[in-house]
Amino acid sequence: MHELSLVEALLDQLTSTAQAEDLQRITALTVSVGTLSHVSTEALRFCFEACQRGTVAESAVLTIESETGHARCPACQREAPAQDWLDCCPYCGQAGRQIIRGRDVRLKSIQGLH
Amino acid sequence: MCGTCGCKPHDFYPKSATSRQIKLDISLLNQNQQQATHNRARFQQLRLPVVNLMSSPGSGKTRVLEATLPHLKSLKCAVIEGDLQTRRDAERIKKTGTPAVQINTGKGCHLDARSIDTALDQLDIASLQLLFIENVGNLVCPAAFDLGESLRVVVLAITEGEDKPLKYPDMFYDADVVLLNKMDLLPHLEVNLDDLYDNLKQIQPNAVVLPISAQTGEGIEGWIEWLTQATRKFTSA
Repeated sequence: MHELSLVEALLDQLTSTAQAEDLQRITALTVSVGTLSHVSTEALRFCFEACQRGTVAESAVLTIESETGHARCPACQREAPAQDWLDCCPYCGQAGRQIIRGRDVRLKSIQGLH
Repeated sequence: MCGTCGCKPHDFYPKSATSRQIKLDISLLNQNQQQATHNRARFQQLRLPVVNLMSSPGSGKTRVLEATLPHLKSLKCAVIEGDLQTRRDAERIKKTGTPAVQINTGKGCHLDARSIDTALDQLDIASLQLLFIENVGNLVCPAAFDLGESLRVVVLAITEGEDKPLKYPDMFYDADVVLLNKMDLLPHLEVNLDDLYDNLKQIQPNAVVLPISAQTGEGIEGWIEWLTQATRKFTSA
């Protein structure tokens, strides 16, 4: 379950950002999960809630957004959304598209108290 | 609201505490990526090709290495082994005369770039000409963690069936080569190789697929030839 590794990286990031921005507490945060990332949002939330105690984000509310993947067609070169790895090109029907976005998990924003 | 006693954040902070929203947009894989970039730069400086071997548990990664290393006697090789527990794989590799370092991840389901950096301290890295990393057996998590490797090799045993590429697309999407292992068992299986190839092409149209049997040695020479060719650009200036 690599969600735990991601939450460890997330908490490191929250700690360093709180220090840099002189925040006493982080009260809310938004994380985006790409539709092609193979990260379980339920597992991500479970790990965050298990690990947030004792950190600068102890009482923070986590919002998880979904980021739609995008892929480029190797045949017609056009870009289009991809909800799934197996989605074919919506213009020409070609499979095996090149993924250009949607595999990542990103900390989008935080809300904090000075 | 506090999960322990139900108090609210404003019970703790003076009325003057101000709330502020900060936009960030930072990848959670950034930390690993920075270490992987550092590892890659180090390998490039040493002109050391690094091969990351990934697969499900039991598809034969260690056996592939045992079949491969005797063909590479002219090169100074080493192996980093990743498993949750035991030193068994490193011991098997050492029997081939190749230095091996075992990483035990405990409950970790993948190797990350930092674990490789730590393992490198136990190897005479400057003298090496080829480094193999055998990742933790898992078709999901290792795909997301760049180690700084030059090449990604995915081992798929034909006993696993033809639909693995469709079920675990991330892993096969980034593979430089797919080794179809356990080909000696083909007469005993119902697996449809044409379907397997079709499924792979749906994920990665340019996939290089090499059928091998690490057990009998079938196809190993072709794999060594591919490996020699593919590592060449990482050894030249």
